[in-house]
Amino acid sequence: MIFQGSMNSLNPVLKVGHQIAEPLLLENTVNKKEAYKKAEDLLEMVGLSKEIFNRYAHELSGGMKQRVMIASALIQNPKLVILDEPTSALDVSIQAQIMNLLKRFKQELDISMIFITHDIALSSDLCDKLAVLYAGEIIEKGTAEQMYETPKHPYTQLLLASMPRLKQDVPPTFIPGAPPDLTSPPTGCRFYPRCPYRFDPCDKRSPPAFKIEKGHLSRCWLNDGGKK
Amino acid sequence: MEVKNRMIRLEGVKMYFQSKKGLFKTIEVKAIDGVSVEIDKGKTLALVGESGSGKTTLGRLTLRLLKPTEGRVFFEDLDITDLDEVHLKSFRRRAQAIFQDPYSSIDPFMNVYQIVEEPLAIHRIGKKEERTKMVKKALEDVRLIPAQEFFKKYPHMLSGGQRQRVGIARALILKPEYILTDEPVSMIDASSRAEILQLMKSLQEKYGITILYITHDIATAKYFSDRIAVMYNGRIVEIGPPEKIIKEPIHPYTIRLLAAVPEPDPSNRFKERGIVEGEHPNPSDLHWGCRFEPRCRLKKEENCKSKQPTLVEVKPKHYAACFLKEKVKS
Repeated sequence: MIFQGSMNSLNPVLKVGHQIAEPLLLENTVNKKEAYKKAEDLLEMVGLSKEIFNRYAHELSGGMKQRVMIASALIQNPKLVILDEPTSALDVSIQAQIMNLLKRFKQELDISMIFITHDIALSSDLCDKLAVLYAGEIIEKGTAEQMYETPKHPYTQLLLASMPRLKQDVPPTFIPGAPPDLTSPPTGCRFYPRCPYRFDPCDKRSPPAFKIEKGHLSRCWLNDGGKK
Repeated sequence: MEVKNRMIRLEGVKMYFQSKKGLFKTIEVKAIDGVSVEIDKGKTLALVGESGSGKTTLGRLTLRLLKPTEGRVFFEDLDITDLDEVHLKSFRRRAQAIFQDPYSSIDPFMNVYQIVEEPLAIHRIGKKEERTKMVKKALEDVRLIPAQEFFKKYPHMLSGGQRQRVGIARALILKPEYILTDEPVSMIDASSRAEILQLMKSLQEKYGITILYITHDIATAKYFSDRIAVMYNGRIVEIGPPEKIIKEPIHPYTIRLLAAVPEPDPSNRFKERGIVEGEHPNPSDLHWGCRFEPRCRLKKEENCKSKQPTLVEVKPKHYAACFLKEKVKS
């Protein structure tokens, strides 16, 4: 089941309650009354009152709309929910509320999630495993502990260093240059033109995924030494 | 006080907008409701707040793009509140802006040279050759090198970071004393943000520019400003040096806001994130007391509901507008 992060995915001329219930009505397995009842229950589960059922999208704030979107993603009891930047349009205080809600559902409803984001700090709120994508390739993946505490790929390391930290006093750094044009990607490693550690094989051969330890893979020639 | 060092000074500024509700009713939106703040020459003030807190409106007031409903706006010792168009034009040579979205704030049909040169044309500065030199210099300042290669490029041929540098070069070419930057890096890749902010900082040091840095991202404000002002609902609730605001926040809103900022930490997934309860109130329907009172967790007193707290120096150079903190101090 796909769940678009945009606040604009709600139909402006339908009551939000009806929109939440719509998948059930289309399926035709339950009658209208039951479907609406379930939509109401879901509204309460996502922290909204039942009255929201009869409202329209323009009457709701961004955070409320995002809660409605979450409710509509959950109506068919999915096993997997894909979240594409669900909070990027929200203020940080509302973002925190939504993340706490998702965290609760992940535990209570036992749902698997694919959380797509550009914000590596935010991803640590939810993910057990993290994969870092660069120019169309997964360049590193591992458990949250492996990735945040001992990242191996230079891109992951630099990406983490570019986040300004509130609690520590480390000024953020940056990665020079821009991601490559995918119509003519660089030969060899796709990150080598921007990489400060590049050496001999980097511009010639594309690195395979080297295994660092169980569950931790990195596509970087620097990590050659372990098993492939 | 040494007034000579002031670049921008706002005094009791209010900005109310009329908004139509339904067919006949108009309501008043109090976007800015009594703000006094100043920025010293060559310094950066970061204005931090969430959407709807009025930070962009406040920024526009400092450039006199908006005329305040009440209060005065000073640029150095010049009162610009009631300036007419002719005088505003010469004022605007000295004050420039860099906007959030380099994709929509620069004309896609103009090449880089034309974009950066345009302010010179508007203010009728220099002859053709001088202008070319100035454009080249501005592009080199923002490290678009070699500058000539960028002259003929169009915005779509540039990356987000490069486009924003063009925006900076355009703001810089008139050698302004003051620059307003409204969310200059929020549309740029996280990996390039620090680069743009460092560039602005080095240009500030080189030319002694005063900057108002408007952002929702308190973490970047920590590293790229001399003072941070936290806005909530049209008022500044706390202002002080970054290390004080971040490490020893006073106002309950600042405290909750800081707790809500994500940090990359694998243990985050096992605990709830700090939040600010409730939602931003509608600025058109506000009650008499403290703006943050409905969302405040602290034990409230009578004043909170009936009076607006004003900024009080709770610690040296660190001001907060909260009745409860005032009490703690005395």
